[in-house]
Amino acid sequence: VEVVVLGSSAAWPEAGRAAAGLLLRHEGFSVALDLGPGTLSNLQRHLPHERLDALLITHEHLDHCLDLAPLTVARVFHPDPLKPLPLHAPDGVFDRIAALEDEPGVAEMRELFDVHTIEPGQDFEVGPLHVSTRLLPHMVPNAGLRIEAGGKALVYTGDTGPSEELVTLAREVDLLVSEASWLEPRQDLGPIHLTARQAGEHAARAGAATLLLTHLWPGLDRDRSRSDAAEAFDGTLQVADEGMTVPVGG
Amino acid sequence: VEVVVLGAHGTWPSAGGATSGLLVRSGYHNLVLDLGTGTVAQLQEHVDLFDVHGVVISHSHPDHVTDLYAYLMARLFSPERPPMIPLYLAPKVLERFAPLLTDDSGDMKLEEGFDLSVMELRTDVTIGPFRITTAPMSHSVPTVGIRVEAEGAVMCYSADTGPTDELVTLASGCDLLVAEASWQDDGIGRPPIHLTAKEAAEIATRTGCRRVVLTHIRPYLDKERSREEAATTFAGEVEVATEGLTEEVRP
Repeated sequence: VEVVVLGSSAAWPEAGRAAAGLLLRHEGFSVALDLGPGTLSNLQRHLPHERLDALLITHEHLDHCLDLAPLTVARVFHPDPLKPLPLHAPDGVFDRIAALEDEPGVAEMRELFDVHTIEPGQDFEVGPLHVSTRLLPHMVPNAGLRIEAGGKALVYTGDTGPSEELVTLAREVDLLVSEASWLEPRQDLGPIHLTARQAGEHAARAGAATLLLTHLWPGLDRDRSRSDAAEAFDGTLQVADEGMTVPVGG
Repeated sequence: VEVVVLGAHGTWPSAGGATSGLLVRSGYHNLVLDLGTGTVAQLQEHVDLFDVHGVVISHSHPDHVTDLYAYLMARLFSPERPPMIPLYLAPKVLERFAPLLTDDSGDMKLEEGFDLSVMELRTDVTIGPFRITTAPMSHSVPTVGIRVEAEGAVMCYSADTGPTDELVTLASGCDLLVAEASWQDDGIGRPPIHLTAKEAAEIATRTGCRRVVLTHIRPYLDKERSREEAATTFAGEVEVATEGLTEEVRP
């Protein structure tokens, strides 16, 4: 099992970057975890878009799902008929993108995607992957994802503030891919994102082997994100970069 | 005047690509025409994110407008609050785009990041040194072609269109025509909403322009073939757009 970083910027992409997205691969099975602006373009550096086996989206914010729009047209115009692509997402994600389309367009989207609603807390299977989910605190319902396959486990936070649920979800994972939007806490905005240090603290408390920081606010000093997280977490630590491949477990 | 291609791909991006967007530069002034997916990341390869003096969106299709979301986010949530700049939208863009900005956590409004105007299909506006003229194109939704004059040089951008005399008139005598060429071959039997490379070149010939850049080519097409098809009906210079391509435009 391995993950490829498709995008590491929070909110909007920095030069040469994309917003949130990961590609998870396991024995020829390929799943995108979030598909923010710019990630469809990066995805195709690794495989043709029609070879994606499933999509998992954590929440409806557009920096995590907007490239569903170009993926829709890419699938509409594909020369071969494509099977509906399984799309697992909390309520609201499909409708958010469908809002771009007129009525026939929405009907077309329903045929292109096999939509499954994630009720955070539930478990489900996607191909060879076992997925468990937890509601993590954010401005809208956000499903933290724990994915197990081949005896390995990874957790991807989506967007979250500090949360005991995250510690529970990420217990003893091989890889925790955690958002680290900020360097300083923003008390004024409530518990909607983590600082890099908080991401490190959660990883340490969960006993994660490796921590990958992503969803970094544009313009922040990524070296400081790394050093702040390292003060709280003494496992293997990486900062996401577009195109980077990280193995899950040894 | 310089024209920089921010996104060259038609309808959806292939690996490393972005959909429609152009940056027009004159001295210290920068104008953005369309903001397709991936263009905000590309923009920052050339200018500071907030060193833009105006944005014009040609029509409501997502491959020309979705990165307006990323740009709005940047303008609203950067530590530095940038000054307001004009944003001109073709008819129907606002209706299609605004629902994207609505969620449970509070709506974002384009008006908070831009001086927003909805254009008529025929509009004359001036942004800094740029004199901008638009005309209606032939497409499946209301779409404007955009002519930009600065420093005595003229560029024209077709946006998405089928064959139309409106484009010939709008682009008349321009120094550079950036023309969509979504399709190849003869185009017969297809709806008049896009151009083939050959049709784009025929229009370029009728405008009397010296150079044409073909853009919005569907990702699965061989771009070299588009160039060759265009060269059969246009005697001037034909280029194929790629992200980052920079063209000097001189009178």
